[in-house]
Amino acid sequence: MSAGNPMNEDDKMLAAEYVAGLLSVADRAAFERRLGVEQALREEVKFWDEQMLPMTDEIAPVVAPARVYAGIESRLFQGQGKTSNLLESLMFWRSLSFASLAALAVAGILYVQSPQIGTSPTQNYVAELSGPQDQVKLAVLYDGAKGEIKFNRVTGTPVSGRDFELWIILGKNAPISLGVLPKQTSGVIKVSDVLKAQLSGAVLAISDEPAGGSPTGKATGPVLAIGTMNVI
Amino acid sequence: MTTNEISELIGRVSLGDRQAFRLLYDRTNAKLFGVCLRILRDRAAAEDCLQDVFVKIWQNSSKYTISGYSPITWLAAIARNDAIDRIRARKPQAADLDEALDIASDTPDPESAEVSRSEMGRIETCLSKLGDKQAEAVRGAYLDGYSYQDLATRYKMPLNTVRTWLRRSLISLRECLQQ
Repeated sequence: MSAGNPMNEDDKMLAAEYVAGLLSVADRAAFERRLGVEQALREEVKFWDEQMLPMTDEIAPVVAPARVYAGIESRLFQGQGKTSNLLESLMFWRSLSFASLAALAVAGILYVQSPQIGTSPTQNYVAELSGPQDQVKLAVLYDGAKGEIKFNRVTGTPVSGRDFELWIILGKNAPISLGVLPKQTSGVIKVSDVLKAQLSGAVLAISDEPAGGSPTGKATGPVLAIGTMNVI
Repeated sequence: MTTNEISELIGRVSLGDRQAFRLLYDRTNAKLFGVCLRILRDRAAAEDCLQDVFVKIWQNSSKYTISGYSPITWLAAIARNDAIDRIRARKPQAADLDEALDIASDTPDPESAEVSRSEMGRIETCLSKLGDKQAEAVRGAYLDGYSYQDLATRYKMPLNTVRTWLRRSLISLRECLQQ
Protein backbone atom coordinates (compact mmCIF):
# COMPACT_ATOMS: atom_id res chain seq x y z
CA MET A 1 0.00 0.00 0.00
CA SER A 2 1.42 3.38 -0.89
CA ALA A 3 1.41 6.28 1.52
CA GLY A 4 -0.61 8.33 -0.93
CA ASN A 5 -3.74 6.18 -0.78
CA PRO A 6 -6.52 7.48 1.40
CA MET A 7 -6.80 5.25 4.40
CA ASN A 8 -9.82 3.02 4.60
CA GLU A 9 -12.18 3.27 7.55
CA ASP A 10 -11.17 -0.10 8.97
CA ASP A 11 -7.54 0.95 9.19
CA LYS A 12 -8.50 4.25 10.73
CA MET A 13 -10.45 2.39 13.37
CA LEU A 14 -7.58 -0.04 13.98
CA ALA A 15 -5.21 2.88 14.57
CA ALA A 16 -7.64 4.45 17.05
CA GLU A 17 -8.13 1.16 18.86
CA TYR A 18 -4.39 0.56 18.93
CA VAL A 19 -3.65 3.90 20.56
CA ALA A 20 -6.62 3.59 22.92
CA GLY A 21 -5.11 0.28 23.99
CA LEU A 22 -8.14 -1.80 23.04
CA LEU A 23 -6.52 -4.43 20.81
CA SER A 24 -5.63 -7.93 21.97
CA VAL A 25 -2.01 -9.10 22.22
CA ALA A 26 -2.17 -10.82 18.83
CA ASP A 27 -3.91 -7.88 17.13
CA ARG A 28 -1.41 -5.43 18.62
CA ALA A 29 1.51 -7.47 17.34
CA ALA A 30 -0.02 -7.78 13.86
CA PHE A 31 -0.76 -4.05 13.77
CA GLU A 32 2.78 -3.18 14.86
CA ARG A 33 4.20 -5.27 12.04
CA ARG A 34 2.15 -3.21 9.60
CA LEU A 35 3.25 0.01 11.31
CA GLY A 36 6.82 -0.85 10.46
CA VAL A 37 6.09 -0.68 6.74
CA GLU A 38 3.03 1.55 6.30
CA GLN A 39 3.73 5.24 6.56
CA ALA A 40 0.04 6.26 6.36
CA LEU A 41 -0.77 4.01 9.30
CA ARG A 42 2.08 5.53 11.29
CA GLU A 43 0.73 9.01 10.59
CA GLU A 44 -2.71 7.98 11.80
CA VAL A 45 -1.24 6.53 15.00
CA LYS A 46 0.78 9.70 15.52
CA PHE A 47 -2.38 11.77 15.16
CA TRP A 48 -4.06 9.81 17.95
CA ASP A 49 -0.95 9.70 20.14
CA GLU A 50 -0.55 13.47 20.00
CA GLN A 51 -4.25 14.15 20.50
CA MET A 52 -4.69 11.73 23.40
CA LEU A 53 -1.54 12.73 25.28
CA PRO A 54 -3.15 15.55 27.35
CA MET A 55 -5.29 12.91 29.05
CA THR A 56 -2.15 11.72 30.83
CA ASP A 57 -1.94 15.06 32.62
CA GLU A 58 -4.37 13.76 35.23
CA ILE A 59 -1.92 10.98 36.16
CA ALA A 60 0.12 11.94 39.21
CA PRO A 61 3.85 11.66 38.48
CA VAL A 62 5.64 9.21 40.76
CA VAL A 63 9.41 9.26 41.11
CA ALA A 64 10.71 5.76 40.44
CA PRO A 65 12.99 4.14 43.05
CA ALA A 66 16.73 4.34 42.39
CA ARG A 67 16.99 0.61 41.70
CA VAL A 68 15.13 1.12 38.42
CA TYR A 69 17.91 3.24 36.94
CA ALA A 70 20.53 0.86 38.30
CA GLY A 71 18.73 -1.95 36.46
CA ILE A 72 18.61 0.05 33.22
CA GLU A 73 22.33 0.82 33.44
CA SER A 74 23.23 -2.79 34.02
CA ARG A 75 21.11 -3.87 31.07
CA LEU A 76 22.55 -1.27 28.71
CA PHE A 77 26.07 -0.56 29.84
CA GLN A 78 27.21 -3.66 31.67
CA GLY A 79 30.97 -4.03 31.53
CA GLN A 80 31.49 -0.60 30.06
CA GLY A 81 32.43 0.99 33.36
CA LYS A 82 31.90 4.56 34.34
CA THR A 83 34.80 5.99 32.39
CA SER A 84 32.82 7.88 29.85
CA ASN A 85 30.74 9.52 32.54
CA LEU A 86 33.89 10.83 34.15
CA LEU A 87 35.17 12.15 30.86
CA GLU A 88 31.85 13.60 29.92
CA SER A 89 31.58 15.41 33.19
CA LEU A 90 32.02 19.04 32.28
CA MET A 91 32.79 19.96 35.86
CA PHE A 92 35.69 17.57 35.82
CA TRP A 93 37.51 18.83 32.80
CA ARG A 94 36.09 22.31 32.37
CA SER A 95 39.22 23.82 33.87
CA LEU A 96 41.70 21.44 32.26
CA SER A 97 43.84 22.57 29.37
CA PHE A 98 44.55 20.00 26.74
CA ALA A 99 48.14 19.70 27.93
CA SER A 100 47.13 18.83 31.45
CA LEU A 101 44.51 16.39 30.17
CA ALA A 102 47.15 14.64 28.09
CA ALA A 103 49.52 14.64 31.05
CA LEU A 104 46.85 13.05 33.19
CA ALA A 105 46.28 10.44 30.54
CA VAL A 106 49.98 9.66 30.35
CA ALA A 107 50.26 9.49 34.13
CA GLY A 108 47.46 6.98 34.08
CA ILE A 109 45.31 9.00 36.43
CA LEU A 110 42.73 9.37 33.78
CA TYR A 111 41.73 5.87 32.92
CA VAL A 112 40.40 5.62 29.42
CA GLN A 113 38.74 2.43 28.31
CA SER A 114 41.21 0.21 26.51
CA PRO A 115 40.49 -0.72 22.94
CA GLN A 116 38.64 -4.01 22.82
CA ILE A 117 40.49 -6.88 21.26
CA GLY A 118 38.72 -8.33 18.30
CA THR A 119 36.71 -5.22 17.51
CA SER A 120 35.53 -5.49 13.96
CA PRO A 121 37.19 -2.88 11.76
CA THR A 122 33.90 -2.34 9.95
CA GLN A 123 32.06 -1.48 13.16
CA ASN A 124 30.28 1.91 13.22
CA TYR A 125 30.70 4.38 16.07
CA VAL A 126 29.12 7.62 17.15
CA ALA A 127 30.35 10.31 19.48
CA GLU A 128 29.09 13.64 20.57
CA LEU A 129 31.80 16.15 21.25
CA SER A 130 30.83 18.99 23.52
CA GLY A 131 32.50 21.51 25.73
CA PRO A 132 31.87 24.16 28.35
CA GLN A 133 28.58 26.00 27.82
CA ASP A 134 28.22 24.01 24.61
CA GLN A 135 30.17 26.67 22.72
CA VAL A 136 31.54 23.99 20.46
CA LYS A 137 29.53 20.90 19.72
CA LEU A 138 29.95 18.22 17.08
CA ALA A 139 28.19 15.04 16.18
CA VAL A 140 30.60 12.44 14.86
CA LEU A 141 29.89 9.20 13.05
CA TYR A 142 32.57 6.70 12.10
CA ASP A 143 31.56 4.73 9.05
CA GLY A 144 33.32 1.38 9.43
CA ALA A 145 32.69 0.32 5.84
CA LYS A 146 34.36 3.43 4.43
CA GLY A 147 36.93 3.95 7.19
CA GLU A 148 36.05 7.59 7.59
CA ILE A 149 34.71 9.95 10.18
CA LYS A 150 31.77 12.10 9.25
CA PHE A 151 31.31 15.15 11.39
CA ASN A 152 28.54 17.63 11.76
CA ARG A 153 29.36 20.84 13.57
CA VAL A 154 26.32 21.77 15.64
CA THR A 155 27.74 24.92 17.20
CA GLY A 156 31.05 26.81 17.22
CA THR A 157 33.42 28.06 14.55
CA PRO A 158 37.11 28.94 14.86
CA VAL A 159 37.98 32.61 15.16
CA SER A 160 39.81 34.26 12.30
CA GLY A 161 43.34 32.93 11.81
CA ARG A 162 42.68 29.82 13.92
CA ASP A 163 41.59 26.26 13.13
CA PHE A 164 39.89 23.43 14.96
CA GLU A 165 42.00 20.29 15.10
CA LEU A 166 40.59 16.85 15.78
CA TRP A 167 42.49 14.48 18.07
CA ILE A 168 42.05 10.91 19.10
CA ILE A 169 43.16 9.54 22.47
CA LEU A 170 43.63 5.79 22.66
CA GLY A 171 43.95 4.31 26.10
CA LYS A 172 46.71 6.02 28.00
CA ASN A 173 48.55 7.22 24.92
CA ALA A 174 49.18 10.81 23.94
CA PRO A 175 46.62 12.35 21.59
CA ILE A 176 47.08 11.64 17.89
CA SER A 177 46.04 14.26 15.38
CA LEU A 178 43.36 13.30 12.88
CA GLY A 179 43.86 16.58 11.12
CA VAL A 180 42.40 20.04 10.90
CA LEU A 181 38.63 20.14 10.78
CA PRO A 182 37.39 21.48 7.43
CA LYS A 183 35.69 24.88 7.73
CA GLN A 184 32.36 23.57 6.48
CA THR A 185 29.71 22.66 9.04
CA SER A 186 29.91 19.07 7.92
CA GLY A 187 32.52 16.94 6.23
CA VAL A 188 34.59 13.79 6.19
CA ILE A 189 37.98 12.88 7.69
CA LYS A 190 39.83 9.71 6.69
CA VAL A 191 41.05 7.41 9.44
CA SER A 192 44.29 5.45 9.02
CA ASP A 193 44.19 1.65 9.00
CA VAL A 194 46.18 1.47 12.22
CA LEU A 195 43.59 3.49 14.10
CA LYS A 196 40.54 1.81 12.62
CA ALA A 197 40.75 -1.26 14.82
CA GLN A 198 41.19 0.76 18.00
CA LEU A 199 38.17 3.04 17.97
CA SER A 200 36.03 1.36 20.60
CA GLY A 201 36.02 3.56 23.67
CA ALA A 202 38.45 5.99 22.05
CA VAL A 203 38.14 9.63 23.04
CA LEU A 204 37.88 12.35 20.43
CA ALA A 205 38.71 15.94 21.21
CA ILE A 206 38.77 19.28 19.44
CA SER A 207 41.43 21.86 20.24
CA ASP A 208 41.88 25.43 19.13
CA GLU A 209 45.08 25.73 17.05
CA PRO A 210 46.88 28.18 14.78
CA ALA A 211 45.70 28.19 11.15
CA GLY A 212 46.74 24.93 9.48
CA GLY A 213 46.90 23.01 12.73
CA SER A 214 49.32 22.55 15.57
CA PRO A 215 52.89 23.35 14.46
CA THR A 216 54.37 20.83 16.89
CA GLY A 217 52.20 17.77 16.29
CA LYS A 218 50.94 18.11 19.85
CA ALA A 219 47.86 20.03 20.87
CA THR A 220 48.76 23.56 21.89
CA GLY A 221 45.43 25.29 22.38
CA PRO A 222 42.61 24.66 24.84
CA VAL A 223 40.28 21.68 24.46
CA LEU A 224 36.97 22.98 23.18
CA ALA A 225 34.97 19.77 22.96
CA ILE A 226 35.46 16.14 23.89
CA GLY A 227 33.50 12.89 23.67
CA THR A 228 33.78 9.11 23.62
CA MET A 229 33.24 6.79 20.65
CA ASN A 230 30.35 4.42 21.22
CA VAL A 231 29.46 1.39 19.16
CA ILE A 232 26.21 1.62 17.25
CA MET B 1 12.41 21.57 31.54
CA THR B 2 10.99 22.62 28.23
CA THR B 3 9.89 20.47 25.34
CA ASN B 4 12.93 21.71 23.42
CA GLU B 5 15.31 20.64 26.15
CA ILE B 6 13.82 17.15 26.22
CA SER B 7 14.01 16.99 22.46
CA GLU B 8 17.68 17.98 22.58
CA LEU B 9 18.37 15.37 25.27
CA ILE B 10 16.83 12.63 23.11
CA GLY B 11 19.01 13.84 20.23
CA ARG B 12 22.12 13.56 22.40
CA VAL B 13 21.03 10.12 23.59
CA SER B 14 20.89 9.03 19.96
CA LEU B 15 24.59 9.90 19.74
CA GLY B 16 25.35 7.58 22.64
CA ASP B 17 25.63 10.30 25.29
CA ARG B 18 25.12 8.56 28.62
CA GLN B 19 25.12 11.78 30.60
CA ALA B 20 22.23 13.06 28.50
CA PHE B 21 20.47 9.72 29.03
CA ARG B 22 20.77 10.12 32.79
CA LEU B 23 19.39 13.67 32.57
CA LEU B 24 16.53 12.53 30.40
CA TYR B 25 15.74 9.82 32.93
CA ASP B 26 15.86 12.29 35.82
CA ARG B 27 13.51 14.67 34.04
CA THR B 28 10.98 12.20 32.76
CA ASN B 29 10.94 9.05 34.91
CA ALA B 30 8.20 10.32 37.24
CA LYS B 31 5.84 11.07 34.38
CA LEU B 32 6.48 7.72 32.70
CA PHE B 33 6.45 5.73 35.94
CA GLY B 34 3.05 7.29 36.70
CA VAL B 35 1.77 6.14 33.32
CA CYS B 36 3.05 2.56 33.88
CA LEU B 37 1.67 2.42 37.43
CA ARG B 38 -1.75 3.64 36.38
CA ILE B 39 -2.10 0.90 33.80
CA LEU B 40 -0.37 -1.95 35.63
CA ARG B 41 -1.63 -1.19 39.17
CA ASP B 42 1.38 -2.99 40.58
CA ARG B 43 4.65 -1.43 41.66
CA ALA B 44 6.97 -4.30 40.78
CA ALA B 45 5.42 -4.66 37.32
CA ALA B 46 5.57 -0.89 36.80
CA GLU B 47 9.26 -0.88 37.71
CA ASP B 48 9.96 -3.63 35.18
CA CYS B 49 7.92 -1.66 32.66
CA LEU B 50 9.91 1.53 33.28
CA GLN B 51 13.19 -0.35 32.84
CA ASP B 52 12.01 -1.67 29.50
CA VAL B 53 10.84 1.79 28.51
CA PHE B 54 14.24 3.41 29.07
CA VAL B 55 16.07 0.54 27.40
CA LYS B 56 13.81 1.13 24.38
CA ILE B 57 14.37 4.88 24.56
CA TRP B 58 18.14 4.31 24.43
CA GLN B 59 17.87 1.82 21.58
CA ASN B 60 15.33 3.72 19.47
CA SER B 61 16.37 7.31 20.13
CA SER B 62 17.68 7.72 16.59
CA LYS B 63 14.16 7.08 15.29
CA TYR B 64 12.74 9.93 17.35
CA THR B 65 13.85 12.78 15.10
CA ILE B 66 12.44 11.35 11.91
CA SER B 67 9.22 10.27 13.64
CA GLY B 68 7.98 13.86 13.86
CA TYR B 69 6.57 13.23 17.32
CA SER B 70 6.69 15.85 20.03
CA PRO B 71 9.16 14.55 22.61
CA ILE B 72 6.81 13.93 25.54
CA THR B 73 4.33 12.16 23.29
CA TRP B 74 7.08 9.96 21.91
CA LEU B 75 8.26 9.00 25.40
CA ALA B 76 4.73 8.52 26.74
CA ALA B 77 3.77 6.35 23.76
CA ILE B 78 6.71 4.02 24.50
CA ALA B 79 5.63 3.79 28.13
CA ARG B 80 1.95 3.19 27.30
CA ASN B 81 2.74 0.59 24.67
CA ASP B 82 4.98 -1.36 27.01
CA ALA B 83 2.43 -1.22 29.83
CA ILE B 84 -0.46 -2.18 27.55
CA ASP B 85 1.52 -5.12 26.13
CA ARG B 86 2.17 -6.31 29.66
CA ILE B 87 -1.41 -6.00 30.86
CA ARG B 88 -2.82 -7.66 27.73
CA ALA B 89 -0.43 -10.56 28.25
CA ARG B 90 -1.84 -11.07 31.75
CA LYS B 91 -4.80 -13.26 32.45
CA PRO B 92 -8.05 -11.30 32.62
CA GLN B 93 -8.48 -9.76 36.03
CA ALA B 94 -11.96 -8.33 35.84
CA ALA B 95 -12.47 -8.50 39.58
CA ASP B 96 -9.97 -5.84 40.56
CA LEU B 97 -11.13 -3.21 38.12
CA ASP B 98 -13.10 -1.23 40.66
CA GLU B 99 -10.37 -1.19 43.25
CA ALA B 100 -9.31 2.24 44.30
CA LEU B 101 -5.90 3.15 42.96
CA ASP B 102 -3.98 4.59 45.81
CA ILE B 103 -0.45 3.78 44.76
CA ALA B 104 0.39 7.04 43.06
CA SER B 105 0.85 8.98 46.27
CA ASP B 106 4.54 9.93 46.25
CA THR B 107 5.31 13.58 45.95
CA PRO B 108 6.93 14.33 42.60
CA ASP B 109 9.84 16.71 42.39
CA PRO B 110 8.93 20.04 40.78
CA GLU B 111 10.78 19.35 37.55
CA SER B 112 9.04 16.10 36.85
CA ALA B 113 5.71 17.69 37.73
CA GLU B 114 6.44 20.26 35.07
CA VAL B 115 7.12 17.57 32.52
CA SER B 116 3.83 15.90 33.37
CA ARG B 117 1.87 18.91 32.22
CA SER B 118 1.47 19.10 28.50
CA GLU B 119 -0.48 21.65 26.58
CA MET B 120 -4.17 21.31 27.10
CA GLY B 121 -5.34 19.85 23.82
CA ARG B 122 -8.64 19.53 22.10
CA ILE B 123 -9.18 16.11 23.58
CA GLU B 124 -10.99 17.36 26.70
CA THR B 125 -13.36 19.46 24.62
CA CYS B 126 -14.07 16.56 22.30
CA LEU B 127 -14.51 14.06 25.14
CA SER B 128 -17.04 16.38 26.76
CA LYS B 129 -19.13 16.20 23.60
CA LEU B 130 -19.49 12.44 24.02
CA GLY B 131 -21.85 11.05 26.62
CA ASP B 132 -20.43 10.82 30.15
CA LYS B 133 -20.32 7.06 30.01
CA GLN B 134 -18.67 7.04 26.59
CA ALA B 135 -16.02 9.55 27.68
CA GLU B 136 -15.36 7.51 30.80
CA ALA B 137 -14.91 4.37 28.71
CA VAL B 138 -12.41 6.07 26.38
CA ARG B 139 -10.46 7.32 29.40
CA GLY B 140 -10.63 3.86 30.96
CA ALA B 141 -9.15 2.32 27.82
CA TYR B 142 -6.45 4.93 27.30
CA LEU B 143 -5.43 5.67 30.89
CA ASP B 144 -6.21 2.43 32.71
CA GLY B 145 -5.58 -0.01 29.89
CA TYR B 146 -9.08 -1.52 29.98
CA SER B 147 -9.81 -3.94 27.17
CA TYR B 148 -13.23 -4.32 25.52
CA GLN B 149 -13.80 -7.28 27.82
CA ASP B 150 -12.87 -5.26 30.91
CA LEU B 151 -15.29 -2.53 29.88
CA ALA B 152 -18.06 -5.04 29.11
CA THR B 153 -17.66 -6.46 32.62
CA ARG B 154 -17.51 -3.03 34.13
CA TYR B 155 -20.65 -1.74 32.42
CA LYS B 156 -22.42 -5.13 32.51
CA MET B 157 -22.98 -4.99 28.77
CA PRO B 158 -22.45 -7.64 26.07
CA LEU B 159 -18.97 -7.53 24.55
CA ASN B 160 -20.17 -6.78 21.02
CA THR B 161 -22.40 -3.97 22.23
CA VAL B 162 -19.47 -2.36 24.05
CA ARG B 163 -17.29 -2.74 20.99
CA THR B 164 -19.80 -1.09 18.67
CA TRP B 165 -20.52 1.62 21.19
CA LEU B 166 -16.87 2.45 21.80
CA ARG B 167 -15.98 2.39 18.10
CA ARG B 168 -18.75 4.89 17.48
CA SER B 169 -17.25 7.08 20.21
CA LEU B 170 -13.82 6.89 18.59
CA ILE B 171 -15.27 7.91 15.22
CA SER B 172 -17.00 10.91 16.81
CA LEU B 173 -13.79 11.82 18.61
CA ARG B 174 -11.81 11.63 15.38
CA GLU B 175 -14.24 13.98 13.65
CA CYS B 176 -14.17 16.44 16.53
CA LEU B 177 -10.37 16.35 16.90
CA GLN B 178 -9.88 17.08 13.23
CA GLN B 179 -11.93 20.24 13.27
